[in-house]
Amino acid sequence: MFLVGMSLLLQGLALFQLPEAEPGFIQGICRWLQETAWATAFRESQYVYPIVEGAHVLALGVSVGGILWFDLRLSGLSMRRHPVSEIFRSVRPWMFTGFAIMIITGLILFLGHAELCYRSGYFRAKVVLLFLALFNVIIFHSTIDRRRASWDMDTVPPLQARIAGIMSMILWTGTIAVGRLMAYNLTG
Amino acid sequence: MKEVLISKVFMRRFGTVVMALFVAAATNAWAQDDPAPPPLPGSQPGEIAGGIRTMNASMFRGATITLTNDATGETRTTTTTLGGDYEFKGLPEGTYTMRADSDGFAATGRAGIAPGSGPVDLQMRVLMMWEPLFPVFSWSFNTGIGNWVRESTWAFAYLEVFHLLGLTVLLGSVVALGLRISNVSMLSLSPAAVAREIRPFMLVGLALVLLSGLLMFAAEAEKLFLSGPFEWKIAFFVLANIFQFTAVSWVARAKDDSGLAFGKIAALLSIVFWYVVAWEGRAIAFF
Repeated sequence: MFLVGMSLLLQGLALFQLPEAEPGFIQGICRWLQETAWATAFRESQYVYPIVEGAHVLALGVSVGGILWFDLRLSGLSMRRHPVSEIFRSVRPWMFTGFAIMIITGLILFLGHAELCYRSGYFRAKVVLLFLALFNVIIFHSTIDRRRASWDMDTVPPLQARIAGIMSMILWTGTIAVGRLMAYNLTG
Repeated sequence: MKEVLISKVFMRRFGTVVMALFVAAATNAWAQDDPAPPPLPGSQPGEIAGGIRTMNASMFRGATITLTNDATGETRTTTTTLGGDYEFKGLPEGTYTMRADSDGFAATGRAGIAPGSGPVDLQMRVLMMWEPLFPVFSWSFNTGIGNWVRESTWAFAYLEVFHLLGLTVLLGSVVALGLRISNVSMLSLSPAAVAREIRPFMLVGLALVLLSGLLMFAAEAEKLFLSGPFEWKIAFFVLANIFQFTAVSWVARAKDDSGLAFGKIAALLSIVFWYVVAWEGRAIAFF
């Protein structure tokens, strides 16, 4: 049921496709970006494009794959006997490296398909999900995380921390899903 | 002034001649009929000829062509030219069986060829590591599930999503365990305890990747049979699994942390092996 509901929701994003004709102001800028010589050369390159695209996908293992352990610890589902701080310290360097690769390659990929991305309902959903994930982090760090010292060793952290962990996992799953489906939606 | 004069003189003396030559050449070309197109290779009596190409349509040089007369069993051989062409001339009437061979390529051929019946063109493809497994690929491709995934508009896209989610969990687990056994992080628990925590997630990632992967394989098996990156992906997938569940497990669980002497190298190798799998998987779509 859950899977069917989710796929219907994802399916529905296809309806938010913007038309190619009558571009608005932002779409006009995106079209210009997509049609620059740089963007065209990038899209049509034999090796650069696959490498950038491949790096964007492969860095998932260290970005989302890293934050996953912190989320699991926060939601009390794994690594319960480690202090929360230790898990955070452990995954931080590779998680940040992973997200840095994600952002850089993601921006390059966006510039290569700026208009197609802007018109795609999946891309806009991805941006929304990324901002929601960012808000989740900001809320977590500015509230419950300030009192981390008091629950650092708890096997099951307080409710608000658990919610933050589970929200993070849901949002990243959604981001990966719309990101992958976007590729089927970028043609024309 | 002088140049103008010279060119004027030139025009007066030779202009007519040049003009006449020009007209003669033009009328000559006009009068001539379009040249008849050369006959197709292998269309003359007693001739079997054609070209050998690779899968991406380039000319295949140096393939050995063996032609056997079906009635007498007599054979003749030749090799293809720089342009990938071959020809046999002066063949007696009858039917022939042709075979094309080259090192590192799958043998191909055709039966029941009559001389003079037009070009016989064949494609050669690289010999794959799993050549004997072709029936398995072909069977998967034609199963109901394979057909269903292939024909559904969205099934493949959603399988890709699950494949990618599985990859994230699997790689995340491999890296996390790698960091523990190389004594870099999560040091407050023993490697064995950390390995126990990570294991269920690693297995979930692996299950997601395998299940979605098998379904996508069924949908594309006949294409994947010829894919170089897929060949590498499977080879490294087998290697990565064996290494992960023997060497890395042993390092993590050895008594008194005695395995940690090999921790860094085991972690590095496991991460490299899994990343090669992931990269080759991505490369299937590109190369």
